[in-house]
Amino acid sequence: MPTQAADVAHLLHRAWFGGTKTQIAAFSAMNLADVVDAVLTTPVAPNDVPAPPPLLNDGVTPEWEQYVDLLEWWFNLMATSSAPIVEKMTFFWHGHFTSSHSAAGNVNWTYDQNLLFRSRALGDMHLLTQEMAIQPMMLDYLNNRFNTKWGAQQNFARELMELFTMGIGADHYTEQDIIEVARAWTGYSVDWQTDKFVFRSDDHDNGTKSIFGVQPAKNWNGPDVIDYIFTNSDKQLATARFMARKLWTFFAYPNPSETVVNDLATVFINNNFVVKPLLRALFLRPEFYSPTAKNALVRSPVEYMVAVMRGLSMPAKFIHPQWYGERMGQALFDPPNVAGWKNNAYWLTTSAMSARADLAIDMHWRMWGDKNDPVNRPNIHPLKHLEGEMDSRNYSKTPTQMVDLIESYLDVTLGAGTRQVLVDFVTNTRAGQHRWTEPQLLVLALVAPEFHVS
Amino acid sequence: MLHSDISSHDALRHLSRPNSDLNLSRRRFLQAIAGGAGIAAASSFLPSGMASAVTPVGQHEGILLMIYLAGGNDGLNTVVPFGQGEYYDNRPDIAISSPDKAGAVNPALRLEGVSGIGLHPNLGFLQQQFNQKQLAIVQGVGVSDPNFSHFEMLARWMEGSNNGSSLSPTGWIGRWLDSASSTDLLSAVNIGWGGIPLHLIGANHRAVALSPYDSGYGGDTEEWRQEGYKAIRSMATRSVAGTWASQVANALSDQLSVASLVAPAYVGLPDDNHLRQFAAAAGLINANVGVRVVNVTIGNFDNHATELLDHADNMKTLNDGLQLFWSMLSPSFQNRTTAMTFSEFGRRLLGNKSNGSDHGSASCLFVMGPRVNGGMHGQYPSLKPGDLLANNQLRASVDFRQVYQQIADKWLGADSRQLLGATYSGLNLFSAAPGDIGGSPDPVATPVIVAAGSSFRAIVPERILDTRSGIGAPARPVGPDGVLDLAVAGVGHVPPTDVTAVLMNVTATGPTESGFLTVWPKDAPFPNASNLNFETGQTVPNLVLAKLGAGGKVSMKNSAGDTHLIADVCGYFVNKPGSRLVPLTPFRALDTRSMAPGVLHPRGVVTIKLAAVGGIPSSGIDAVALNVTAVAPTAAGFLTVWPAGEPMPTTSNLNFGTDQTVPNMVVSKVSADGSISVYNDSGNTHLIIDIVGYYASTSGTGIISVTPSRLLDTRGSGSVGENGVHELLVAGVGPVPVTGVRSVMLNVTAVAPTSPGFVTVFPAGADRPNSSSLNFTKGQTVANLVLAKVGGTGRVAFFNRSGNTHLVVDLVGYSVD
Repeated sequence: MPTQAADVAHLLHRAWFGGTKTQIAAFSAMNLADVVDAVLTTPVAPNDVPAPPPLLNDGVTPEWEQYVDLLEWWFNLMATSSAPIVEKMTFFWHGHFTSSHSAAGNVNWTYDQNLLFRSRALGDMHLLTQEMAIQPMMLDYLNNRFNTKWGAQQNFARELMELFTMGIGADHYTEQDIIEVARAWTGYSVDWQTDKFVFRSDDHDNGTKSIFGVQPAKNWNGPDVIDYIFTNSDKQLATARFMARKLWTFFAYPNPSETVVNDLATVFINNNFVVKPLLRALFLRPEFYSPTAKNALVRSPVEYMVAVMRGLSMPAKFIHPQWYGERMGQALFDPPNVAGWKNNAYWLTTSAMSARADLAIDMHWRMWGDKNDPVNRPNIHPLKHLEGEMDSRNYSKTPTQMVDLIESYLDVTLGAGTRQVLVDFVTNTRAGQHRWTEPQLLVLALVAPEFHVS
Repeated sequence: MLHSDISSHDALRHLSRPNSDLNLSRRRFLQAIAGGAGIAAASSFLPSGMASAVTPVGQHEGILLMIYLAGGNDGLNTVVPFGQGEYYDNRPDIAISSPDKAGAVNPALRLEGVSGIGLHPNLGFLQQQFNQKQLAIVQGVGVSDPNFSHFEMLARWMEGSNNGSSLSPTGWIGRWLDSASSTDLLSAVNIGWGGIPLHLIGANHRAVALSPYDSGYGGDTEEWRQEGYKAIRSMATRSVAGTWASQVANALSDQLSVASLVAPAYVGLPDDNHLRQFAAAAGLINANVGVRVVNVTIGNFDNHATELLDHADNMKTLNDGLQLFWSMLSPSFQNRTTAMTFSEFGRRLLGNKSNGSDHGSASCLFVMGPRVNGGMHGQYPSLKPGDLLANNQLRASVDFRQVYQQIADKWLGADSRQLLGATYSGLNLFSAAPGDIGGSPDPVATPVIVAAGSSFRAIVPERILDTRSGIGAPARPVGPDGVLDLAVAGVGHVPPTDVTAVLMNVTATGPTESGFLTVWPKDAPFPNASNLNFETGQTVPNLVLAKLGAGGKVSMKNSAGDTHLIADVCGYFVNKPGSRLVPLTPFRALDTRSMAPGVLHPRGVVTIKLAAVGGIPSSGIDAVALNVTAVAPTAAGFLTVWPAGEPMPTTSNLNFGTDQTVPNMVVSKVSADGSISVYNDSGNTHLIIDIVGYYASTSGTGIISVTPSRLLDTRGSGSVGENGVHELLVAGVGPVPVTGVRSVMLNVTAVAPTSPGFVTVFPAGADRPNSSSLNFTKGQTVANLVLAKVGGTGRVAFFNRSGNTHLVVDLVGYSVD
């Protein structure tokens, strides 16, 4: 049974960063289960790593430029990857197991963490949790590198349970558990010379710890705690529910019903915390295609910037994610705190909207630039159509056709009200034979409300 | 209490709760302007139409600056209990030394009348304010049942509700916005890029977010932009599918409304990311656009490791930020303003071995301002083992909602029981109501050292406008009420970007009627100010400090008749290290009436070395600021000033008619040995050169150029008589800070003098120098740019030599220490 094109487009906006007209047409001919499987298809080798950012570790590039390079590298992957679901989940994990590049200041750690998220994107969360815990990026960010038996340091222990796995809950863990888990994680540190993970047995507390009420108290180490969380039936249920809720909020809408949470948690547990079956179940839920889900999420700044890149065939360096991301409230690799970014209303401040409008203005200047200068301007196919009218002022296309054109490029469906405003704008300003009509039409489409939600 | 099954994500959504009726405040805004100019006027975005959209803060309405110390501030190292031995027992690695200990390095600062408790050594300004009874320290503030999750505790602080109460998840300030009868668009403002924090979100209203950097999208006036704004506003009035899409449209539409209202707050801010939030907060209040609550966020205070370093930086930021805030806040708002800090929790008594501290419970907070009941409030928690809570945590003596009760009832004019859902009492944090006489004297903040202001780059003068020949504008005169937009950035040697202002000599020539010229930043509101005045047929120059506006342009408006305009740029200002201004008390360096070489002949050149003269150092100067006067010329002509030894430029500095005595301020680059040359084009003339300042890289202060504003107009109050001195307060007036102001750039105009004479501008309180700032003949209206050093009382003095004259004084810039 074919799938409705609107549902396919919705799925591709959420699971990927949007699809092309060809993809939507092809998927529409398939039944939903096959579409979902296709959407979840990842490269054959799950550890297949994309080519590293070109300037990383070249020995000469300053750190800031390496960071910008890394940003552009990831943005380009998000916009053009052949397995967009992998990038979407990498993005999810980055907001989940947060750490901050500006705090650590080590591009290699940031890159390594990103590779880890990508390699386990749809894989085993239990393994991923073990691996991320002992990466220098995390050991540094939550200070576990300083956690020793001479003085335990609770930061990682607390967030491991509160934000990374089970979430707050009186029956999940207690303040005493945090103290004891911190002891279990003593000695997991970073070598000052090599900047690599090191386990310092001298700093590790080998005493018995009483954790989660497990009797008798025993000599837990750090990974034991993670293993317990993912295998004990109470703890794994708490974790699976926590993750089901968070993934549903990320992909579908906030505040899922208990039924949805419980069903997805069950799938997660039954699949030993492998993410792909959970996502398959998630994308097959009828609720995912309900009116509640459609247009229920504000595009995060990263998603907005990727949508602009895709819509205008614009590589990342023209988007300047290092400037606009921060101003829109989402500096990639630099979440505001350990809980990551929030959603929807969080993005809708006047200052953040100002930054989105400024990016739109930035894009429209490309239509004014030297069209034959490949350095100042990529070969922007979509803009060429607008530019034809801008330069000739022959107006071979009606205002409505102009709006259709831009709607098609941007992969957006404008409502009747917005369409009317844009058509009126073109009609009215064409009367003045202004060369700015078409560039300003682009700006208006990029700031149109429909383009900021998915 | 958050639900027990809550995920962190839900906790966070709690803290930035989607507001179901986000657009209410916007609707209010539209209604406000609909009563006046109507929605269409708002779309065309006339600054005058905007004014009706906000209500200035009333004389007895309190204004609150909230400073969120993000991450849990360590109260023990902020307000240091150096008298309790347990503090040092538990914190061997991270304790602040006791001032009682001989030879202690960086000990806690003592507080007058308080024993055993001091402030972090970086809180010098707070110590000073405490000793002046303008700082309340609330000790042991927290909750009785602490939780140690950032998010849980932040949610409680921001909600301001009772645990487990049925209050909706809104913030306490948000509920105040909901309850207030006169909530404006800008009643509450959050400075930052993230979401709006929960405490500023109500059921029907929420704060507006402003960038720490600029007023943002929506303030430009070019037609193509205006048409875009109109379309954006129109989109926001159409229905669009989905809750969020309509709120996207509203947020952008709100931004359009906010942009030009708040633009004045973004002038002369320091570079530091944290400090500029405080400066912007003061600027927003000074802008008088109805701001009642401003929230800023500093941190990270989550100092689990290397606390001594990181926390000390945070303390310095807090200290300097508050000092900057009070120093920039206009005097008229000071006694209506209170600042308070808050944080989700304190830190554990026992230090960890990462040289940091873990999440704790009770902490301290500060409430500061001239109407605050200065002193210690609440009890410092006992650190004795038997008095602590479990896990080495401090016991609170004050519930944080007791603080909110005081702020709500005594300062915001609210009903705390309504906002907090319960009755709290027990604190007495205010000595007087907002704006009331009484309480403590107004704060006297000491000068703050910030890298404020732009440095100056002198260039050999270049002509960028001449309407006689079509340079910079079409070759035709500017007509009555005609506005000429002049591109400055990117023209000649002025760089295309980063230029904040230029100094240029503007000349009106061949005016067909008497009138005046106003120069102001393009797209800024037209100011009530003038730069030069002319009479029919006269050629009149004046140096203009012109702040650049949209697109790096300035606008020039001619009041009457047709006139040609000439502009020669002699330097520009950038926000980068470089040459800074050192103002001097005026010093007469040359007067050819009594000094060699005597009168200047036609096409004569005089070269004078100014290094080591009149306060100018012997080396290291880049440019000099002079007041140059041509006295009693025998023919119409002009003078050109340029660095000695370089080719003479084809520009002019001052023009004169026969027998006309004309002054003009001149800023000129100097040669390597500190010399300038002056060229006299025609006729014989005497020449006076008064030194008023210099520019050097090694000393001095940056110039903060502002949109012109009128500080004095004696035509309403009576002229200045013969040998009369008029003192004018400039510190704290308009954008000028209360303290630390070193000089002001003024355009001074003498109007209708009753006899020939001159005016000398000098620092109030100093001896009057033997110099002149402005010369005139009877009945002549003459303007000149004056660099005026500010006297110790924050004033400058104007001396009128003879006859009666009116004075009109416009502020165009200032510099701070």
